[in-house]
Amino acid sequence: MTALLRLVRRLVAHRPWQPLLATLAIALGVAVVVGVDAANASASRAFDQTVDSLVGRATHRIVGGPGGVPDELLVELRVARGLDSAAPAVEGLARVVVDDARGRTVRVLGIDPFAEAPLRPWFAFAAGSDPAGGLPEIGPLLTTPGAVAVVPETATALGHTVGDRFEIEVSGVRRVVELVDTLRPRDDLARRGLQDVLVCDLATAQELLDQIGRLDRIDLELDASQATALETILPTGLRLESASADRGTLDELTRAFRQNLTALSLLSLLVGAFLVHNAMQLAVVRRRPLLGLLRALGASKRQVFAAVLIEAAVLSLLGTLAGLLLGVALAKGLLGIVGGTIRELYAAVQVDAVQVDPWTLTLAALLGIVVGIAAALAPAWEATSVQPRMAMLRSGLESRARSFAGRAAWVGAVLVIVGFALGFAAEGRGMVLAYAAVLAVLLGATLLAPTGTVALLWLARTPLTRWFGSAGSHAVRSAETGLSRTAVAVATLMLAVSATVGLGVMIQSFRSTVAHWLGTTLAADVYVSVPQSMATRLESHLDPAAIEAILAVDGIAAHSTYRRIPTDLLAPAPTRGPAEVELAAITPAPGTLAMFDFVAGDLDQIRAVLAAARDGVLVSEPLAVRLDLDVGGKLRVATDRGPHDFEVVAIFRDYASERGYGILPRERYDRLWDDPAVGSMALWAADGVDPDTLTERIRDALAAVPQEVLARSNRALRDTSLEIFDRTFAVTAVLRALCAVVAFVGVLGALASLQLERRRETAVLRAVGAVPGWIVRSVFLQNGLLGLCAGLLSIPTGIALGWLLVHVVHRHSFGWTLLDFETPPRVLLEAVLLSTSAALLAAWWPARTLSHTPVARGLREE
Amino acid sequence: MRRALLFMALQLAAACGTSDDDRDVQRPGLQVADVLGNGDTEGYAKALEIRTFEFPADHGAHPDFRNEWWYFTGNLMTATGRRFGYHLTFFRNRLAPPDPTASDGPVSRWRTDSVWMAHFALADVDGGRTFDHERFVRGAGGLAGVTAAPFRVHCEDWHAASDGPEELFPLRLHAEGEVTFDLTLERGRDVVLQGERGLSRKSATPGNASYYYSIPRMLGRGAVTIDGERLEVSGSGWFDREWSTSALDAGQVGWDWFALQLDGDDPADPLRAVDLMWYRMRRSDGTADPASKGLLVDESGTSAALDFEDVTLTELRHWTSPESGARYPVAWRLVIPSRELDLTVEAALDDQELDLSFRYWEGAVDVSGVRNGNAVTGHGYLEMTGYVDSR
Repeated sequence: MTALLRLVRRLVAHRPWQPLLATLAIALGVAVVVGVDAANASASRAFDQTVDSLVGRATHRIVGGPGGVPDELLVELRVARGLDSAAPAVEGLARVVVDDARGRTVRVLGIDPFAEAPLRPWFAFAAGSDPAGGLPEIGPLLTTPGAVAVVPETATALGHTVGDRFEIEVSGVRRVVELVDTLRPRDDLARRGLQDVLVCDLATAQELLDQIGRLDRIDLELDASQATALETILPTGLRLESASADRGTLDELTRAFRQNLTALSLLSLLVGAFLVHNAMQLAVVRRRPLLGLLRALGASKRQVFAAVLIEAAVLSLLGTLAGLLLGVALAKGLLGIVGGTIRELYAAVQVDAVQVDPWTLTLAALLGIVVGIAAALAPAWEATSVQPRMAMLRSGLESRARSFAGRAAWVGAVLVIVGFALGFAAEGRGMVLAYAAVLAVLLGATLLAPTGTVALLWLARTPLTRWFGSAGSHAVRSAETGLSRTAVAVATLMLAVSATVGLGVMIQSFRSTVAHWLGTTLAADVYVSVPQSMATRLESHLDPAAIEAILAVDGIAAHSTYRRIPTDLLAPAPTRGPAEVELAAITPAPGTLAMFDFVAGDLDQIRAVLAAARDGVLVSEPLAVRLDLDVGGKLRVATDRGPHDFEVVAIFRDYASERGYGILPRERYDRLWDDPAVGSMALWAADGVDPDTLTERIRDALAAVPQEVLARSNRALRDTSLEIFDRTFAVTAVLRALCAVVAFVGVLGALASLQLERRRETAVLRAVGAVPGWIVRSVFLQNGLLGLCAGLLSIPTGIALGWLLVHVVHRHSFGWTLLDFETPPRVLLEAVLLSTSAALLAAWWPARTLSHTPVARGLREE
Repeated sequence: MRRALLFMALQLAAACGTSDDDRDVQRPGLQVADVLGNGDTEGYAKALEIRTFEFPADHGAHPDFRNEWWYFTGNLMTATGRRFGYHLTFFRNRLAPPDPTASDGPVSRWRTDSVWMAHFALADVDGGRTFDHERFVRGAGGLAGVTAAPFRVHCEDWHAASDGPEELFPLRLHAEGEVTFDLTLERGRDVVLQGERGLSRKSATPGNASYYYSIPRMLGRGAVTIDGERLEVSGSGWFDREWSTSALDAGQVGWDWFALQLDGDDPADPLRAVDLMWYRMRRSDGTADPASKGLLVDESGTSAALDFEDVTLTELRHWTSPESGARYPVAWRLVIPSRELDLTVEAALDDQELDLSFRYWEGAVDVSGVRNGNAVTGHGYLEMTGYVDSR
């Protein structure tokens, strides 16, 4: 046994590139899994920390409708009811103005410093100018106009020091704040949660955010009986919810985004597993003749088997270790992009520290080691179970590989069919089925790959022979006869490349659908809104002065107003997400109906609803999916007048909101809510008035209004929307690129080692008269051919993957039906080019080595 | 004036650096020094000359001055003789002087430059326990504040409030924490002005003084809920009022302040009795400051100021706090030869140290001794500060 291990060690020393390439492949596979998963987990954790530090010890909170929670309630709770744990909060997003432009997004958090100690000790002992690490200076915070305090990291990021005054922009209006102090929370959690938060006094926040008289919430620490008692005395329109609901809202906000990432991380797991498997299997298959020789020399089956497994274990272990390190580095890079998207689209949440979950590391390590060893098992078993003499011969293995390819193809075909069946069955049934469908299809495609390779090689034989003569025909035949190695390599590459195709197809289909939808829904000529971020609970609203100025502009034929508010969902219970629903109140214009693409509903009924002639609500498709609602169903929500039942009259397509929303006419909204605000407006140009001219006129009219209001033409808004879309999918695009890199390196490694294996074969060829140039041509041709095979095979697999992602995974995650399914030629071409160019690059070194190795030395090998 | 000193001492303690004991740091929720202002007296009104007091208006706020307080202490007893001491105080503190240039935009109802602090302590003498609580509340939006007619001072739901606009009595006190305290003060003696007709000078520096009046004896009944048990109580109390914008003199480290109520001879009118206030200011060298002063109100309600030379004060016994290590004198001999008064004052319970943002001793005391050759008894309240080493 020790003699065998010594032999292995000498083999490694002799041919370091073999184990090196195997180790690299394993490392890569493990790194991808760690990287994607850690980036995903770190983003989630950043959210949780933000919520944790802001929720603190509070068990409950009181929130309200569009009007928030009135100031008076706080007095009622603290003075009349003696609930001294009642801590108010006023929250909103703002942009810090940098060089007269909108810069970093920050969260303005107004609190009552005197009410914080029991609930949020982080504030209580947040440090101030006191060198001993004391407390913030309450005096300046209370008495300086616009006084804010931030953690030092945020001060640095903003480029401000204590004493600086700077401007922030809230709902388009600029206000001056003064940094009066830094917060130095002692615990790390609080410090992280306070990144990019401007902490200020309650009064300052109300003034900065234009929310005088209104609180966003009151946090409380209550026991169950106190909570029940409190619930009964709350005025209509206000509700008591458990503090964990806060987490729910943020979670839901990014759920689809994160689910998308999870899908990608599972995909990377699969690709990683195949890479590891491929690398190990090749390493053993390569050894087969040697194993036969060892057995012929008297080594027992068990000894040989054990030696192979030990080698596999060592390589897997080394590769896994390297992969874990590489993965953490990769996670850092990915997190930058993921964090950027989250910051941009969802909230002022600072996502920067990579936090690697021990589970992720365990999973990735298991993947590397278990798959690595398992991959070695089958070929090692095969090599030790046959007669030693047979093991030394490649022909036996190859003929069996061919017959195996045939059987595998059948199994693969069945798996693909099962996968698609699962895909159809999975619609609306949960992610596990959807992932199972993806897995089945990918496994099936992998099993089909050897047969596909054989077929493609057969097709290539004639043209290659014609164009390149004997070098061409040798390239094809050698690939065919070495099927045990080439098929595995092609299958792996195909899988890696198909991931890039699938993601490409998904993104493109999505984008195209959204673009078409925007074309329908953006039917008006000019859109007016206030700049805002998706994370705000309540949209900013248009200043009445701005509305007046707009409507006074000449050339407007019709207009429509919108107001979106979140409200309590009382029934039905959502299949996912919080019991909250967004409603949009709309004043219809003649063109309104044309803006909807209805999936279900009767047009006359819809008209009646919009005209407020009958009660009812139009719901977006994601909401219908989330609540399992159909036309005729009932939607019960909390209004300022108490619970109200809306009948679902129609379902329309919408890609703007993952959680979905309902639409009701303004007239009915005004009867049920005390909220005169208007969030945005759509305007139609009069005949003969150019929309761009109208936009300009509106902008001119708005110049006199202090609020910053965006007036955008139909086209500009569409472009902006698509831009946002592209930013949302930036992570997916990056992951796609990452898959490409993995595929590239995988192809490089696998095909390079495949060719290097042919040392003896080429030496024989050289001995019988092949010139180095012929060898070089043959090597390049074979590699190019295999790369091409992998690229071509990845197209159907990738399209199938894309279809599943679009129709199953996303339909489930977002509730979106994508009408367009596009297979962009660019993506397909990229796949083939990627695969082929990597293969050709992989030929360079082997071609050089093989054509220059002295014949005698090549023949002496092994 | 003594509470002006309490503020000053708090400021000193804060200026010397808060302790780094986690418990201490977490509890107050903010730096005491901030709440109490930074010692800058610029821009505030000052107690410069003798003024005319008007009631009920002067029960209300004097917002041009930086600090102001409403101080209620007293001794209570159940019908079965279980004894309690109470201490409920509301402090108004302004963080910044009035600013006539303040912006004119829409202003939040929570906008304020004043912070209220309230202390509530209940000494369960027989149970050997003291319960102490404090609150910091912004002086805006109706969370904390004071009105003169009807009189009501409150920090959230802790309050002292009159029923109607005309009369101070009945005056209802309420506070709760681990224990609940409700007391209705039904009647009391007339207001007495401290110092020179209410102007209590602290040093020769003009303005280094406060306006100070007291109601030295009030009678009432109420209830204490302790360990879930509601106990009916009755007893007497003392009410102190003071406002100022002044700073602590250099060299003064603390004070011992007595509010003593001797039992009267007339069971029909318990208000006809002798009440005595005395504070001794201590200097860093351990001696008493000549600025120490007092007031004696006799049975007829006639009050007379007591000066430094009038009173001899001797420490008889000490108690060392296991919590802070401070060594407090808990038994005293107080002699006023000119009044033929020789009293022994002893803490009803040694451990009445209050573990609040600022640590001090404030508690119920028993009085016994001789007046005009006759034995007298009584009770009162004692406040001692400056015994905890400033770290």
